Amino acid sequence: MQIDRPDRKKTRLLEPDPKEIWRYCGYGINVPDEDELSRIENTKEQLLDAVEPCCVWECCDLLFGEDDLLSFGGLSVRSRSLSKVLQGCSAVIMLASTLGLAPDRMIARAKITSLGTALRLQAVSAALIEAYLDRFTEELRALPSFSGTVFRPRFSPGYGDLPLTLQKELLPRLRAQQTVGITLNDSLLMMPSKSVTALIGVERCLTDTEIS
Amino acid sequence: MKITDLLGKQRLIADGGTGTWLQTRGLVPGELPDLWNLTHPEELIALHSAYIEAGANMLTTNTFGANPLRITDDLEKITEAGVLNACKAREMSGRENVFVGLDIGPSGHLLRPMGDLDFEEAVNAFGRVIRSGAPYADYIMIETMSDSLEAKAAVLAAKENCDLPVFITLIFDGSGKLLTGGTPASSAIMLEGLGVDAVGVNCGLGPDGLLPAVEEMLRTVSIPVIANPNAGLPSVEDGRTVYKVTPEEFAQEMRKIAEAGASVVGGCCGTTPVYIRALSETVSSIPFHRPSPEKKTVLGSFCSVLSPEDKPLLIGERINPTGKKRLQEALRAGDTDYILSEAIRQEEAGAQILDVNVGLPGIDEAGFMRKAVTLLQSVTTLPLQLDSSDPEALEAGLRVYNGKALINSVNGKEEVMRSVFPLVKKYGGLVVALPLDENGIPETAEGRIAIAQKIIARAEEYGIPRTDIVLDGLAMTVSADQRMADTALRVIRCARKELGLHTILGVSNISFGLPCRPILNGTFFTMALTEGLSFGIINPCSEEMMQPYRAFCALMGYDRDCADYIAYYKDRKMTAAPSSAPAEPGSAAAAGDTEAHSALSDAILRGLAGPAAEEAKKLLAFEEPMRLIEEELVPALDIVGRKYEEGTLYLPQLLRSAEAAQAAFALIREKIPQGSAKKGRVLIATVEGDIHDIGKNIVKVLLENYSYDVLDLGKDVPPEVIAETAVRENIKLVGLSALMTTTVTAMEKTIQELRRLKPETKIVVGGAVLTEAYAKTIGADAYAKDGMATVRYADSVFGN
Repeated sequence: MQIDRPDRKKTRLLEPDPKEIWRYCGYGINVPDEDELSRIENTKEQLLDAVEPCCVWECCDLLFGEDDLLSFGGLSVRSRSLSKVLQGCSAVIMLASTLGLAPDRMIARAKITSLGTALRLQAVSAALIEAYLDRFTEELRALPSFSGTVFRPRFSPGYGDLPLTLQKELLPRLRAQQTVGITLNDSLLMMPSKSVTALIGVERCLTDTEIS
Repeated sequence: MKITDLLGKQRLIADGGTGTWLQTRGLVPGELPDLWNLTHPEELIALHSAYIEAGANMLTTNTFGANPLRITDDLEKITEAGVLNACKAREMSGRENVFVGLDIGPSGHLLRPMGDLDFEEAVNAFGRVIRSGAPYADYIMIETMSDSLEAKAAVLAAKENCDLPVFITLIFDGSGKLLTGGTPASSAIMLEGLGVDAVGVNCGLGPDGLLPAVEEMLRTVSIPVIANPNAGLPSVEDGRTVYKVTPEEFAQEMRKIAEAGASVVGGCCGTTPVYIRALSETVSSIPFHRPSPEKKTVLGSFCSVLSPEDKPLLIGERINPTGKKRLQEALRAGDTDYILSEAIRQEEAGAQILDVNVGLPGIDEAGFMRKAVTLLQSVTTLPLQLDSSDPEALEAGLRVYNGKALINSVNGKEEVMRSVFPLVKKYGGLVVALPLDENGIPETAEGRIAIAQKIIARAEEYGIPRTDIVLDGLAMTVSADQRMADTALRVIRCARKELGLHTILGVSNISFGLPCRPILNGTFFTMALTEGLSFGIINPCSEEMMQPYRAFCALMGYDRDCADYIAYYKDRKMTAAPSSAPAEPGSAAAAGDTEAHSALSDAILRGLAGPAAEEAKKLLAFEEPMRLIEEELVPALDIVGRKYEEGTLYLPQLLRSAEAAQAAFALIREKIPQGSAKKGRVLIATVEGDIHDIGKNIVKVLLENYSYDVLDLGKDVPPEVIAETAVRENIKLVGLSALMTTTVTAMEKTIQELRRLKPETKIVVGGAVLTEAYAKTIGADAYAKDGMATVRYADSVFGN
């Protein structure tokens, strides 16, 4: 398995999707007023100075079995939704990523001083982990070892019929506690809370020769 | 020969990784290595033998994952077998100076309050493993701890379940921090205080990556330091994780760690017997030395270390119920949020340490101290002073304190020394010594110094060094005896110069009973600082106390380049009476126009907390508090609420208005006779297993703004606690929150329990995963899609 751990300079370049932030803040498809936009911007700056994004990942061969059984990296799971997403793939990337405990600490404090700030921290950090993973996935895709492949969209435990209980095997498999500091509580909630586990299907593109 | 006969006197070689080796022997990824203790003992014996051959003195057992939270079957057998396999290898080798360490790895859970594992549950889980393996082992090896609080739980479990030496290593990331924010220094001083025999680092990085952490520990503590790095960073080749650093490269990099003074060197992930042989051969030519840094007076939180040797320090005194009606109310009601808000307020005002005193007749002081310390550590990084005359309360706080605390206090009475010193010895800490004894408080400085010497001597019998003692000068009011200021100052002077002790004062005690106390307090504080006072217990929110402190630090060079002084005062003007912090930019007060937002309602509508509070204060001078609530606050909130429900105003704006109303309400409630003006009482909680509570807290703020009394049980609350509280407090309406599909089952159980015990109680539920239909299915009376809907439902239940 490998670990990605961008430094502060690279972390500060992350650009969370503003529309996602507004949605998490309860604006739906509307745009916040100037005041709120300014507050959101301040929150984003505070988080960019504090978060420590990292990701542990491993690429494994993927085997399809009967009745939507999928096997990869020593794990097995039955899921129609995941089977559909991974159809045509020969490998799967397992990953676990987190922003670290900083957002949780900041939110815990803000819950005491200002719930509005807590809400903003929650919204921005949720968008931030997605932004980190989007960038990380692009970088992964650009690696020489993945040349000639196409990645499927990220699919996480809890999506469709992929059971959340898969976390109990996926996290230890990636040694997530030792490598990136993610633990799982009895309700299958990850801590730090701004953590994501996901599977990315890897489809090998046919070469021109193969096509002809 | 015991390991402690050699530890710190010669360099010891620890073994290397286990998982790496077992994978070459057939362990599949994801399989728990610990199970091989029973299924493949010969492989483990072979591995341990190979490490002995390679030169290792210290073998760690294959029990890294053995924890009742992870292994439910045959835990004791697996643990015992793990230790016995290592003992067998030692026996077969016939070598001397080979020691077997019972390996204790992390539990896999994060401790409360950030996680869900209770501290004592963690101690018990580790304790179970230790009781199984310790009878056959030579030492306890706690490793790969990424959280200093969990490390503490494991150390206490070791100390409370066996007499073996305890070694512990932690895992730091590339920025030199633990997952939970601790530094090598902050964690090492805590662990040294707990009495571990050696502390160090393992895993995460290779030798070069861990060198800074090793050096920081060597500079900080005088106990032996351990270094067990990985064989560099992992990469993947042909689907397998490999460590590219060769044994020779590893050994060469470890030279620097050995030269720095580590007492134990070994390896972790990626290292095998070949690496350990190379290491052993390489470092054998390096003379052993162990740095012994000068002992300093330090205290720390989970992530910081402070010393009065760097500058005098401020202890915020506000979390102490003496003379504080609001805090007393909060303690009786179990309102921890108020305590946390006082902590944050003091921190923002400049306190560097926070006093925590929750002693009040009629409350469970030990229980509350435990809760307060646990929660405070989630919102502030400041070290704490645990302040109680009840040793049980002190111990309750010390046990869960994540760092090295200030302990207030011990004194010269035999009974008190006998009850407090053992706690200081067991948990570590700086202890405040009051120079009084069975004969009372000496009137003279000489008398107090004599008692101080007695306390120091007794402390040394317990193995507590004088660097861990802070002498209280005992500031007593000059209104009763005008010699008291001079006496206290002489004690300060003498303590520093003649006894080498740091000192502390409860500064404001000096002026009790006199008018314009701030003048005396500020002056006395300056005098004490000039005499060398180390810790001042003050109100940091009082500018009269902060001015002398900032000035003193600037004048004496503690505030380098007067940077803090300039930053604080550059935009402030001198006034006749010291004013509080300037108003927020953009607010009416900052513009100097107090009429611009004169309407209280206007401030609430615009979500301006500062002006709302200002306006409420002005109006309370001549208006009835209930009129303000009924004719200003509630109508303004109704407008805001309606706009929110119509979708023309959004949640952040709703919250700002709610917080503005709360700011006004905080002042209004002080004028309302207790027990009146409440529309009803609502119990709210986030259900068991769920720690999401922002939504619940929003509901609480809105209900309180609408004059409901809210009993908030917090998050992750078991069904029986909710139901029993509802019965005991005769609750008419319960609000339950759950945000995860995995926790709505707990919501259903809670509803069933409530129906069983108090069927007439109404239940409203909310949370992202809930719907109206599902709420009906699980037996709730109502579903509220947001906070305003909950308020409307409460109105319908209470007939408002």
